[in-house]
Amino acid sequence: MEVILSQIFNGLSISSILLLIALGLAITFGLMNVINMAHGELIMVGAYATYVTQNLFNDYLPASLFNWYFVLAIPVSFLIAFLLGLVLEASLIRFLYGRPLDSLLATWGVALMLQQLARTIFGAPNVAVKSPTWLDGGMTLMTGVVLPYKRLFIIGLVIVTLLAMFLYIYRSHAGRRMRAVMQNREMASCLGISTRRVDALTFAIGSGIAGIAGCALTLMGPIGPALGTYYIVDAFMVVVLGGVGKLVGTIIGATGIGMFNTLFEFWTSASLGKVLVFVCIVAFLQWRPKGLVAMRSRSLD
Amino acid sequence: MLAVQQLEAGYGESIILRNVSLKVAPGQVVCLLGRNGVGKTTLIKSIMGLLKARKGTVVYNNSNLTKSAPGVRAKSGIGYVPQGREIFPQLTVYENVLLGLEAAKTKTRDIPPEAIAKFPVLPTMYERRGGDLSGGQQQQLAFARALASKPELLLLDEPCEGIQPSIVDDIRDVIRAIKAEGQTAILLVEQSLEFVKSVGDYFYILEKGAVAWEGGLDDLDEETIRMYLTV
Repeated sequence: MEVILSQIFNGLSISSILLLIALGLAITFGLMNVINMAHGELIMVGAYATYVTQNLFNDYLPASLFNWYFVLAIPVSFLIAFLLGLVLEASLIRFLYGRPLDSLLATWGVALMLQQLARTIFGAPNVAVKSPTWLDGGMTLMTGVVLPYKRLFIIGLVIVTLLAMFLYIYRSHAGRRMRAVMQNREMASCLGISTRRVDALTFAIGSGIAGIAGCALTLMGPIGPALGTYYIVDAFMVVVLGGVGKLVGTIIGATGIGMFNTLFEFWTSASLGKVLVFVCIVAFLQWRPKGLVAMRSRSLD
Repeated sequence: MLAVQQLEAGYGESIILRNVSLKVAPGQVVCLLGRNGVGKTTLIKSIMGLLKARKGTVVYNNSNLTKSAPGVRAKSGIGYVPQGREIFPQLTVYENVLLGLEAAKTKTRDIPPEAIAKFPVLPTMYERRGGDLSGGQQQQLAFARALASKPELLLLDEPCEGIQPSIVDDIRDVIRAIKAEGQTAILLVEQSLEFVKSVGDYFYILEKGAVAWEGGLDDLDEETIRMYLTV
């Protein structure tokens, strides 16, 4: 019983991390069709933004307030990555819409530049972000099953982020404009929507959510300039498996990969488990190339 | 109100329109006729700004829009019902109509009742996705979407193409109603001669990308029709 419960929790935890790193990509790649190889580096930027926030709290504020730095770090990470996304879109991405191969190469170049920039500013070795003490320890469900607060926090953060994204995309005026532009750019512009502004904002929001993911990753361990490269493949896997362009698909994709990953790792070993997961994904995509949740409508025929 | 002068436009290297001049007065229904491939849709797209003019000018209400983006033109009061309707397939019918408000001059969040009153079938389908509607329903939706911003000029590109006769009649009634209200001028592209004769005030016939003939309803005689329109 303990084993099953803790494995389920592990699976959920991995799923939530996967989902968090993939959500931003679900917007930039899923909705906008930009193959954004710099997504991992936007995560890294978010992580370093958290690191800097922590240092500022350490240096300038009384120690009693230190524990609250993380609450501020989340919006700060979002904002820094959001602004970087705006700059990136205005200076590079907007010239590459509809050119997937070019954008793949160009954003990869951006990724390398950002990594080097991080190395120059913060140094090549990993840096540690000290988690706030209120996230230490865990909830004891029963003997042998402890749910760490950090992982619970990440699950909560994913749910809040998802909810905010859902409200923005499906319930707000700006979200409606965004969906209109992504579905039919020409017609949207003919209705008086500024497609330039919508593109810039959409890309920046996707980047900002990557920043939040970076902030959450600081809870899981030390961070370094190459942080993004560990997660970029996973992020693309989740979005492609879920079905490009569908938020629901991304959620199911992340949960599926997370759960199977835990399951296979439990049966075999960590590295073999990962291999098995990738084999399953490749096989599945052979069977259903459009992913789990494919858009189907007579309008697409 | 709309004046197109010596317009030249095309796709890539090929030039489709040569030296086209055209005028629409407030409240007037102007019809654009011509055989397939003479550049009717190209002209509409150039007026809307989807195609860049190479030469000539598009002036609307005394402001030169030749270099403006489509969104600017929409906001200055031009509504557009494109060929093929171009409904947003994954958005609901209601959201499609709401998007029509983006170009409205007042910052209203409500759909004007007169835009939707002409299409009583639409409110019953508000929650369905635009892509799931039939062709005729989509056409009505495209009309309502364009009318939501209360445009002073409506560009209609083949609104009756591929639609059952009863809805064609509905659309004719809508165009007549708009004309009777007198608030909105219409530039209409249509193949059916009988249809345009029943609603039009003034006619332009395009041939090989240029205006070959223009005149009022009474001047549109058998001779002209045989020369420019019969296949």
